[in-house]
Amino acid sequence: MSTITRRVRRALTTAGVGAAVALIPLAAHAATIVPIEYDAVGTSTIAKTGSDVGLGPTTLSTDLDVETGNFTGSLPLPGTRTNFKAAGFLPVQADVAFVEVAPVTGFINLSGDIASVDATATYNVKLSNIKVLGFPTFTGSKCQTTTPVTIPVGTEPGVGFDLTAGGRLVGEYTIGKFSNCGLNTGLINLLVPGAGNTVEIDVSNGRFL
Amino acid sequence: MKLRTLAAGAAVAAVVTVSSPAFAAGPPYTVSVGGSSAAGSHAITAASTGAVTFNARNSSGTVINMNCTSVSGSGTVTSGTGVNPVASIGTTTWTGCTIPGGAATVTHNGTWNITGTGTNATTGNESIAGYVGAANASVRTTANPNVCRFDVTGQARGTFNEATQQLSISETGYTGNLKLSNVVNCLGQLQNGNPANMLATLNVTSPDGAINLS
Repeated sequence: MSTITRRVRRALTTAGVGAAVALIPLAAHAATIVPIEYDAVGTSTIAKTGSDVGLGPTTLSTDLDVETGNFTGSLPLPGTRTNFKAAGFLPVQADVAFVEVAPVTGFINLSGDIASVDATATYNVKLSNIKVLGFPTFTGSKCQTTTPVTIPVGTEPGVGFDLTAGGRLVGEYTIGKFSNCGLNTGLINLLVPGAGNTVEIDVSNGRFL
Repeated sequence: MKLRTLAAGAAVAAVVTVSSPAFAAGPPYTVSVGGSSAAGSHAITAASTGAVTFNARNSSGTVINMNCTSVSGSGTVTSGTGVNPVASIGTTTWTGCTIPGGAATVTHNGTWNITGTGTNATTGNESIAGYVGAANASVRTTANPNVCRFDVTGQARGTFNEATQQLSISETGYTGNLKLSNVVNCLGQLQNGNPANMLATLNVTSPDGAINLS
């Protein structure tokens, strides 16, 4: 056997072993992850302004680890517009965007008759196109929460989640300070940040992919 | 070496013995169908009178319910003297089954038996204790069997009421008479060997007439 032949054979053998080693965790991983998509639509109520922000309709994409009940996913939320009254009488309008900054993570627990879900989603909340008394104000394109907003959601106590039919997820979260909002930064930080904001998301029409 | 092998074999045998449900069959019965105790085989059907309650207790002690709205089955009852088991069940059909998180599909496996353990009945209107033996069914999540599937095997205690011709299955207490095996996935929340309970009441009918044991 020539030196070149031996080298080629050794390289192929090494590559083969490497490929096999590389495939093992992939195969094991693929066997336990079940992708499921859902339709999702909901509402978030901002406590300090008393205004509602529509969430979706959108698609919740999840990868469920059927060995552990853990899942990761994505819930992209289309931008929306909200209206509220500052100081109780000044009409304010703003475009609101929830920008995902981390995958949705969660866990499905089985107990009694129901499967319960606990999950966490993380977004930057962006505001733009703010109008006060109908007049545009300069906010810029980088007005967003200084730190991402963490939104914990879950099934309501005693109410189950069906992997195919879905269910309702609810939660409460805190919005932190905004920055890079130009002259509106102070006004926004006076009006919006705070605790006690609520979210309700109806998840339905599960599709196993 | 032989001694070590024998000791190991004995230990395995002991484990097998201990882990096997210990139901002694009752005395052989004289079984009559439609008033006749002539030796023979008679078709029977059974249908639940309501929901079937089934649940398993996992290794964390959490009870997970897996219920069905109804079950029906078919088989044969053996008439004659010196009979026990008294019946066999060849098919069962389960409908409206759910486990937490979704619908489930239950598939009957093998031939089950109905074996009496109670003392000889005499009046013809008694409840006779027994069990459904060799029970074996496969359960899987309907939408995607990869989410959860397992087998349920073993025995379920019950009574047969001659007056009402009802078989009441009442396997309770998580004794391990019924247990899960071949558990695949199930979100990590069911394990092989989890004990199960089951409650169901079924009307048993034979076209040849009422079934009585004495």
